[in-house]
Amino acid sequence: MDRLPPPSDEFESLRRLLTLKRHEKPPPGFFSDFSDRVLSRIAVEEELRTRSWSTRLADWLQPGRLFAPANALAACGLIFVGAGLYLVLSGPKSHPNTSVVVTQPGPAETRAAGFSVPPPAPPLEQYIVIRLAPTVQPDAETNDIPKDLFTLPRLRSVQGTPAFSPKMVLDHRP
Amino acid sequence: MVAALPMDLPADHAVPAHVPPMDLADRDLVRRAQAGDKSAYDDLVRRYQERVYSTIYHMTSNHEDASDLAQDSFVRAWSALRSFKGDSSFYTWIYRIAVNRTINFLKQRRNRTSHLSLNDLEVGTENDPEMVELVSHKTPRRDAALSELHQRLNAAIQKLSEEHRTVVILHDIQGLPHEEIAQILRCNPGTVRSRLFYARQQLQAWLSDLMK
Repeated sequence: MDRLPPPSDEFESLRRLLTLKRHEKPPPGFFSDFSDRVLSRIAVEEELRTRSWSTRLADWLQPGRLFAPANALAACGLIFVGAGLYLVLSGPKSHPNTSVVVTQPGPAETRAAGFSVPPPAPPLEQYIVIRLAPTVQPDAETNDIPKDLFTLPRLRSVQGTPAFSPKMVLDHRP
Repeated sequence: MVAALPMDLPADHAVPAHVPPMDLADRDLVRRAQAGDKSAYDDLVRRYQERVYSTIYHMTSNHEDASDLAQDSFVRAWSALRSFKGDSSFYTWIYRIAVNRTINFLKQRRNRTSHLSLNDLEVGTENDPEMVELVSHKTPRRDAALSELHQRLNAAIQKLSEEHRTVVILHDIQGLPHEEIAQILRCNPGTVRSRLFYARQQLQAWLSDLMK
């Protein structure tokens, strides 16, 4: 297996070429703090090693660490329960028209589930009549608006169709 | 005092500046370091840091890797210092740790692209008599730029297997004798010679155009 070394001049050119590698050096100052870096790493490793297994076990068994998953699950559960209760309790009350809608015919499964379907939007004319008539009440004592300004005959006379006036919509939309 | 570096040795031979089994100063420093004296270990590190770094650098051709591996080698040596019996020199022992650590690293890195860093080329190379001769007197090599030369050289060395590369670096670049390399690699000197011969043959084939 072992072979005799070749004559020294056989690889002389190669050997001289390889000696050029000796000129490759690290950046200047690299070795000035090299041993300090080594000793720092030794200090860190020693500190890690000197921590006994019981210390590491105690760290691992910290209550916060052990119960972190349980706490996260409990928090998620509380959020879900709270959101569910909010939907169940506050949902119907926030839609006063629900009673009207539920009585309308609709998909059986929707009614069985207790969900309400918002009523279809009324025609614009109906909207104006229904919403403006009871809410817009010109006060003769505080305003100078003529008393007959909002009467239906006058509206009809403007557009020719019952209760439609773009100007009224713009001025008094709730 | 820092021991003379192989780099400083005459180029015409890989010197054997004999390294005694254990230098007296080393022996004292090792004994104190084994007792927990970190300042003694600091002296040992300063004594061998350049040679250890340089060997690793030539094996990896990467400054960052060499820096990290050299530090890691000295840290491991400190951890194992109590088991050091002094059968070989501290110098051989720290070399063995560094070389084994680097070979393991290279095997893990084998599939990665190797990074050849030539930015650290010493400016003095251009004034080196051998370099001047190489690029001026030998006509075919005249046109080869220094950087290209080093690049070719590094690429060729990186193509060698870890075992062959290690032997070439320790002998032809670092200047260690066969016996010392055999101790470091835990093999017999004949194996070192055999690997060296094979590695040189391969390098010569890859770099033949530079040496005509």
